Amino acid sequence: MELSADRILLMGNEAIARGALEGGAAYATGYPGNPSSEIVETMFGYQREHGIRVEWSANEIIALEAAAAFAFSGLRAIVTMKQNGMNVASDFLTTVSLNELKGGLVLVVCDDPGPMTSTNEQDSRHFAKIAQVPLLEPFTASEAKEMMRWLLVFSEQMGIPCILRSVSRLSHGRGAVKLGPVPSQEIKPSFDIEKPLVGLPFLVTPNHAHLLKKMKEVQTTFDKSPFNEYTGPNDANFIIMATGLGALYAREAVNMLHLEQQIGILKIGTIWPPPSHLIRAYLKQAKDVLFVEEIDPFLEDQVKVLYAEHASKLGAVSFYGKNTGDIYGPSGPGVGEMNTDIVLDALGRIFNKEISACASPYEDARKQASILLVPREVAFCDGCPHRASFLAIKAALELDGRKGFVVGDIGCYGLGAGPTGFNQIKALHCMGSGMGNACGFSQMASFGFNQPVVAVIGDSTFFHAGLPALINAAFNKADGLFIVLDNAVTAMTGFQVNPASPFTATGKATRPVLAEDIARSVGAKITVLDPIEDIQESIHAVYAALQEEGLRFLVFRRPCATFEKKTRAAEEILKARIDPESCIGEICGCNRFCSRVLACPSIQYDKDKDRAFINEDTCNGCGLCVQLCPRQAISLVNIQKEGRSA
Amino acid sequence: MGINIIITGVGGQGNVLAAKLLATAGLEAGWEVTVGDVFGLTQRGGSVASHVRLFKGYLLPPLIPCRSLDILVAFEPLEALRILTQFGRETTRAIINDQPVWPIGVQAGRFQYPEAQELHSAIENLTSKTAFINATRVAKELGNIQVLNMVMLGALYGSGWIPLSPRTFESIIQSSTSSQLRGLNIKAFRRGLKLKGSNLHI
Repeated sequence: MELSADRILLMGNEAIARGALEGGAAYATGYPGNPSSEIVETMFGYQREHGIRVEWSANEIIALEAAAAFAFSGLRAIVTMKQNGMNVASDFLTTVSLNELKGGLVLVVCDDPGPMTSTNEQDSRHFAKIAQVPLLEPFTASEAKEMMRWLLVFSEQMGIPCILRSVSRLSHGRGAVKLGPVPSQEIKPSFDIEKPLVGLPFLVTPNHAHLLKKMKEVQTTFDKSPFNEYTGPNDANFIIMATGLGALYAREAVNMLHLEQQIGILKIGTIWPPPSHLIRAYLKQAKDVLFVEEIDPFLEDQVKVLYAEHASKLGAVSFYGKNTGDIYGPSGPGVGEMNTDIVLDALGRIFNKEISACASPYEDARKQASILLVPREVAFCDGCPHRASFLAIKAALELDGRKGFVVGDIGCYGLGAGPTGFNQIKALHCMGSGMGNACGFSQMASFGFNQPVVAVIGDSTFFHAGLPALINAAFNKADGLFIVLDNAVTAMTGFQVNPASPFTATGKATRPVLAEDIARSVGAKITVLDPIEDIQESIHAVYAALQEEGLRFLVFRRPCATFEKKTRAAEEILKARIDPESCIGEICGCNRFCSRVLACPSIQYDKDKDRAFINEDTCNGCGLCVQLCPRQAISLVNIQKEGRSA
Repeated sequence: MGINIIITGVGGQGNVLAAKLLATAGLEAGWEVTVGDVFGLTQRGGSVASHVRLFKGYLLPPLIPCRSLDILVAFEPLEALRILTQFGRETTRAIINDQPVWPIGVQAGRFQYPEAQELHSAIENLTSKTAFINATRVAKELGNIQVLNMVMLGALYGSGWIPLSPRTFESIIQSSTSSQLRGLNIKAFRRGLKLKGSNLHI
């Protein structure tokens, strides 16, 4: 046991991982997804020294089921996911909560309000209510660590899985954290075969009743929890009830408006079940209550239910929240990320206080400056194989001419819906949704639907959610054209390994699972190509597949260029170079193909010289432009040989 | 009391590490600190901004409110302007690497990057003091564009705008950056520090 008195700076997700370590977790797993990925990644670092088992799972429900096995056997485990993953894991969560766990089990879900990297803006706190499990929400990195540690112990005491809810800004933010001691692992796990954990229908009702009884005990604990804290005047009758970062935004806004003497802030960390005695005490004190929380009016709804139940013993209270339309950002109440400015605006309206703007010349200059801003769209990286894959698909669909389109899902290749993917993807929702949609599109022929549909999916996503769609297509004789964009890594979330990788996350050699092997076993017609090396062939392959019927399965396989650059020491460093004699600029008629159409970040067009040129600092030397330039003005050079150019 | 700093740039320029090291320095000097960051999709060439807050008194959230920025450290001038239009106020001071990185839409001809002079005067109108420097050139001279962030932090320390000691910062670079880049990072930081005398007009 070592104990450091010093505080260190940790990312929210690192703090959560540290909490799991201090809480005695024996196992950590999950499926990568922003903003949750760094928790498991940090746990990998603890693996050797502390004997913790850490791994990435193929999807979130498998992660939760695997973690539950540890808890069934008396060990503590954590499982991490982003909010979309919560939906995947929820099937198991809502059944396992009916059983008595022997070890602690904590599910960490990281929501993404005002999504930075997500396809929805889901508030995962609702799942605590659906599954009837305790849920905590921290407001600092330090509290995130402490809640994680406490929850592992509490989950074990109560025999119920628990949820820790974070949000992007907390998970990816950093704060000071004081490290605590790490317990030693002494428990030998065993499964008690005398106590089966089965969800047979006749057991469900008694188990459900037992769970609800336990949740009453949880509520008693939460009523006295130090995770709930009131700050401000003891007699304040304007109270802000806030959860998570909301408590910090509220404090900053109150202080900026100099309302410290009038407003009290009740920070609530124990979200489900709500600490009802505590809340009732403050409802008795309050005449006005403002709610500050991320995404949905979750606390707001619960407090209003409590108020209605006890209305006869409470005075009149005015509520200000998202349901009432009193607190909102630029897009309206209940959408987007919370921040101090939103609380300032709400308080400003309620207290009739002006928020100080800058002097008018400054505000004018701000308006003038805004006109100059041009957007900075996210783009496929230099050398990204997806650029070539979408180019091939685009060219094939144009040749085909039947208004065909692409359906896809989540991953780097989701940028196929944007300009650097030639705006090809026309439907994009959740993991695996493109392949599932394609199954349906292919069954509409008898109704007269005649547009060809191409479903794209990444390697990791194929193993996560594509397999059932593939099997469904084979079974139902769907005319699917599926393209796996296999770059051998889960790139979008920070280059995690997946079943297509030759190594596990701990670096052990493993047998990569090839998507085409699985597709072959269900009778699909297979083509495997490198979309950059074989760009012309790739266009023909997609076009040919569009003319055929039945289950067609293409794999565009080439390693992620950014990951390769990070990890491989290459003997040769290739860069594309444009010969200014061969490039003839605008008169070429190529319509500035390399810089404008291909839109590789490394290729630029010099207006003054009327020539394209390569930024060799960023070029990854993939050679796609070399093959496509109609003047053959681009070649690859090995700068390792000629010595590094400055 | 506190200091609100934003480190902005384009995904991949190293703002996340810069913010982490600066906040570590603040913590070691006895400040409360918080960092607000976004990463993930942004490494695909998007705009990035790290909010670093050094404070005393009560806990602050990781996001700086609008019109509350004290110091801007920008690795790219268009991103500097983007931040100033939201967070700037009359007293905001800025250190800006004056090397445009074209957005993909500009490259493809769909948008126009602002003219240098127009961009400079818009930035100057939104700051009380601005130093335009060429940290990209310094990083390239040192042989690795990756150390751009250390040159920028050097310039920030050299400005004297933050109550932190460059010597402590060097020890943080020693202990918290990768062994391959450690030496070069310190060199880059020192080059940044010296930029004060030459083309850093503060």
